[in-house]
Amino acid sequence: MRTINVKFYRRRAFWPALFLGLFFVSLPAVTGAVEKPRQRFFIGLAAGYLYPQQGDFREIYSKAIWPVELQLELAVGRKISVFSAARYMETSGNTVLLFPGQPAEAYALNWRMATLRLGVNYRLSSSRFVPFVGAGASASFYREQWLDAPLTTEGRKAGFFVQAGGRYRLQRRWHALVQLEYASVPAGSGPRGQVNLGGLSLFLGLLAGIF
Amino acid sequence: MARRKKLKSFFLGLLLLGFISFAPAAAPAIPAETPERPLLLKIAPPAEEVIRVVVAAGGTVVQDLRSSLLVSVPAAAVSRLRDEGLTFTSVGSPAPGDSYFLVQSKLPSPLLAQPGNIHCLLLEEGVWLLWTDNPDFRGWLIQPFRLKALRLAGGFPGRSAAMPPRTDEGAAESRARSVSVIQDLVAKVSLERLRTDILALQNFTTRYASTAPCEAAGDFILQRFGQLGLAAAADPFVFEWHYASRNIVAVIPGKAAPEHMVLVCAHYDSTSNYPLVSAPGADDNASGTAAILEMARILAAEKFNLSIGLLCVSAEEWGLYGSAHYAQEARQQGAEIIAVVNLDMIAYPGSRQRVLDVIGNRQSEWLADRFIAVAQPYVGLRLAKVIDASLTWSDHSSFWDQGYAALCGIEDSDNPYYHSTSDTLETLDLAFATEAVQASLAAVAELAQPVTSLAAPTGLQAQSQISASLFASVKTVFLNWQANPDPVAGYHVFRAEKSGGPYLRLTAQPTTGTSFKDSLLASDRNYFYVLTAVDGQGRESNYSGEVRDDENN
Repeated sequence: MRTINVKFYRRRAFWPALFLGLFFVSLPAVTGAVEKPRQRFFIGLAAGYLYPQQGDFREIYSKAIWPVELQLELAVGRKISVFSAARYMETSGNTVLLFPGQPAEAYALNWRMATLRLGVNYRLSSSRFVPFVGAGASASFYREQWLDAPLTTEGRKAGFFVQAGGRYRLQRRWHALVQLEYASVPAGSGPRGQVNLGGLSLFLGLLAGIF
Repeated sequence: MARRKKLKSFFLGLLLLGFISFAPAAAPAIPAETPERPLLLKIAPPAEEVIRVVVAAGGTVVQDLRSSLLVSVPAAAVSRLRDEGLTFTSVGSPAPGDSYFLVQSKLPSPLLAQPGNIHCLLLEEGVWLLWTDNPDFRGWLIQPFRLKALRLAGGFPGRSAAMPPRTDEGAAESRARSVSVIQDLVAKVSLERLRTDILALQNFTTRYASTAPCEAAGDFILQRFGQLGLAAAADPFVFEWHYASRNIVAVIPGKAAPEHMVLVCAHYDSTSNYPLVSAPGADDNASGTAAILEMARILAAEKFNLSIGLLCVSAEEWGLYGSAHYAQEARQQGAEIIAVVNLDMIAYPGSRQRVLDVIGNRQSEWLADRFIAVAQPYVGLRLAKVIDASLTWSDHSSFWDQGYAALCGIEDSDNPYYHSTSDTLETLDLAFATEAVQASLAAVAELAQPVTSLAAPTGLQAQSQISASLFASVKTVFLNWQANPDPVAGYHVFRAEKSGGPYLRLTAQPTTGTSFKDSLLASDRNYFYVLTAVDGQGRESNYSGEVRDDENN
């Protein structure tokens, strides 16, 4: 289990997320409303912040990574729902030196990854605010491109994720979503050892109940 | 009575003496401690791994061939070879007194008949193993044939890769052109001098090794070397038990690295269908010998960084005895011969296109490539590379056997006068021979590195760095060097993937600074760099010292 770096708390995305999270969590207590969900199928859009698990990844791609995600969810029981999602992220960075201290040479990099996710959520209550936990598998398609050199690495790797979050019904159809996730995507070895493209991410989003 | 007693004692004594005398013979035989006779085996394929296994089993490689190896191993080691998974066929156990030869013949059998004491075995297409205790076996061989005497023990040290000279491959052509010294040398080759020397050698009537005229031809060569002011010497040797002859060798000492030698050689002996009477051998091999003399004349007037050896060998026609003697001595003395250029029959192109074959084995392929790249721009004839370890019928093969890089320059034609009394000057194409000499001269001069007036760059240093992303990495090499004391237009930078080259030129135009960055290299290997300086007239210096990419990290 990796601990979250202190720097993480300084990320600007953290505070809005925390604020929204607390807001949604406290709403049921404020309203006292308890209603059953009226829809079984949801479509939603979410955006978030990824904190890569691997130090090498964070060093090479030091800019913030903001993934976006399209979700589809189907409730298959009172407590259980299955979902699928397509996620995309892109960032840029620079190569690092294997032996610091020598004459330096850096190359600009571009990183893109699309992930298809399939999982199951377990709802912990049926109130207006629905906390949930979930897990699933993912297939990630990534592409690392050297912008100053004819070097490109493309690959496809499977992984898994666990997540926890909550959903708050804003209106009849509309739900707000907050979700904390840990994903692991082992991607083989690179020049500096084993590569894992996963990490910790926080998502905020909006879901719409279709039927 | 007493007499009978005496007689009885006499016979008893005689019986006892007889018993004592015969006792050792009657006793159980004790094995004599004689060395076990080795076995000759033919093993395929001729791979490095096979050689390692054979050597580890106590064997030696007798002959490296195109598709197989002829090896000699102790009989006890055969099971070990089998255990190692080698497939082989046994040729038998050499009998004391037998001599072994490699015979090159295109006929279904190289023998006129099959006498009981001459044995032949086909090793591969056109290559026969012959063994015999008959000293007159040559009389049973059908012309044309070519012979190589084999040494069954201690001759072949394995395939050691000879150190390539510090010269570039990719840019060799332009470099050779740019070195005006070589251009000047090539222009000095004289057709008339070649004609004069071939005629002089032909006029010895026969140069069949072991004959007095052959020795006189050796004296002639020795004298010619002496007239050029070269340190020349005769290198005597004995062959086939009681014959004697001499190699003639001269050296042009190198200025910078005299311990490294580029050797150019040719055999001066000859043969024919009546070798004791007449063997003019104009093409085979007065042409090669005249080439050596002409190259000696031209090269002796120049200075080179490496030494150049000029070797005229004898008894080639008997089975490469002279070159085998020289090469073995050189190996034993640790001579650093970086390349051998053997010229054998270079004046009869035939009616086909004008082609000079450049023959090498796998370990000498770099030399054949180098020879062609350097020499081709100077000549109109076509230089054709042939890599075939079974082409062992000339003196280059003796150097292959000792692990030296060697090639043979030879006309690509079947001379109808080969090994006959008709192999005379009138049948030759001296314009072709002149070009063959020009090609050889250019290559030898380039390999030996002419001393030019422009000083080579110094102080070359290299540092390397590896830039990595998540999945890929590249190496960048940073070079810097000291400014040349001579006025220069710039520097050329060369890179090799092996120490010593072949080098690839990285700079299309001379770079004017004293630093250079070589980027986007594979990060998992090392690279080697040298520099040359180029003056305002485009003349190029010799190479600087070599550095490895991480030498100054």
